[in-house]
Amino acid sequence: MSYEVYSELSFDVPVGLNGDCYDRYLIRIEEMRQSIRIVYQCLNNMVFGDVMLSNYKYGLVNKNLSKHSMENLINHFSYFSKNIVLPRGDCYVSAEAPKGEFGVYLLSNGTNFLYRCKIKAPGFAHLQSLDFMSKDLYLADVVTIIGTQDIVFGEIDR
Amino acid sequence: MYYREWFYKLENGNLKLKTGSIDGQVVHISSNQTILDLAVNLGVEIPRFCFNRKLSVAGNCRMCLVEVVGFNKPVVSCVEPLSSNMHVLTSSVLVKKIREGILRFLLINHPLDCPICDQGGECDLQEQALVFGSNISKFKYNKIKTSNRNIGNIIKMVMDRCIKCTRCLRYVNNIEGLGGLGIVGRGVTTEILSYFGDILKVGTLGNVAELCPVGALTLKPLSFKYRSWELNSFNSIDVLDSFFTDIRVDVKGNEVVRICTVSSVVALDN
Repeated sequence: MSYEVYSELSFDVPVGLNGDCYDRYLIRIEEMRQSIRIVYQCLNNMVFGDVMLSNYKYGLVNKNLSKHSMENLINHFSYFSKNIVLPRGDCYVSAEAPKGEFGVYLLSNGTNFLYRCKIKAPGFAHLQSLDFMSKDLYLADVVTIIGTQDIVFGEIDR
Repeated sequence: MYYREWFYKLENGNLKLKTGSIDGQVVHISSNQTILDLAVNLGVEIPRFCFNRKLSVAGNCRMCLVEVVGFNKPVVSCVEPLSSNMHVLTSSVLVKKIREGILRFLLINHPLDCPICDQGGECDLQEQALVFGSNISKFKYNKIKTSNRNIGNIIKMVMDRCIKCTRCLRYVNNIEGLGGLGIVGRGVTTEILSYFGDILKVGTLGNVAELCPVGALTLKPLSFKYRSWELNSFNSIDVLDSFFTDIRVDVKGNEVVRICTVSSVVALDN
């Protein structure tokens, strides 16, 4: 998966000592620097070759291929019209996002459309701590706290 | 008398009960049932194009080939009856390879019509190519193009998409009994058309569109009106028919677009 080469990368974990808004700002800036460092290392050490699945029955078909090959056209058409039929059951997959754990919960009833899809964004957990963080402070400080928590209100409850 | 004798012999061990197997499941052979029939009863999936329970057996699509242990050639499961000590494999490596090869041949001259084909989404060829077919096309040459024929106001005929399963032909010739359709030409130039380019005067020609596993014969009044995944289906009973036949009413939005046969009754017995 995407964490396959974590052991081969070198990066620092940014830590703040005071726990205030300025610390969170500094951490966010440092996180970006470290992210760029990781991206550069990945790009430089990437193995040459295909990066996508070449079995087009389970992946997105190259549009150019589907203009020449009947097999690929069928796969492309079915992928976009009927979608992939997932087996009955549910799964939860989490990935590391800049603000915390980003999780996706899928529930399939064995048809070509998902019965339920719940996305757990990290901002949802952060927003709950707003009450604790802004206690005994001015109302104007709430703006800064929300800003440094880096909440996107569209993502908090999806 | 016969059954009493049979049971008597069975009890005394004179007559051994004939058994065969399909994918390891033991089958007791009682009559001349084909491998495909028995496999359907067992819930084993065998893909096919030309076979339909209500039509005569043709066995020309070769999609239902299965491997029998000890035979040096695969057998056509819709024709071959299961006899004793026959052990059938329906998902062996050989069978998978055969299915892939046959689908590859079927798709060689199949036009890239899925986005403009009325059958798209409910097409047998599409579904089976997706499940059993190969991943890439190795055919690099030009496809053969045939001219479209006019066979009436009900059926739109696009013969490029035809896979020559001859379901339509057997329906018109055997069930309807008119014999208007036929096969012309050989090899890759094989074509199904009405003789002398006639317009077919068949009363129940609409069934042909439902029988066709691909988009070669589709309903002309409904062309480009809907996509199959936009429809909601409701099971109903045909009150205008004295047999009270089971029908399926397909609705798009709040409008009835077509009325189909239910698979158990006539057509798509897949």
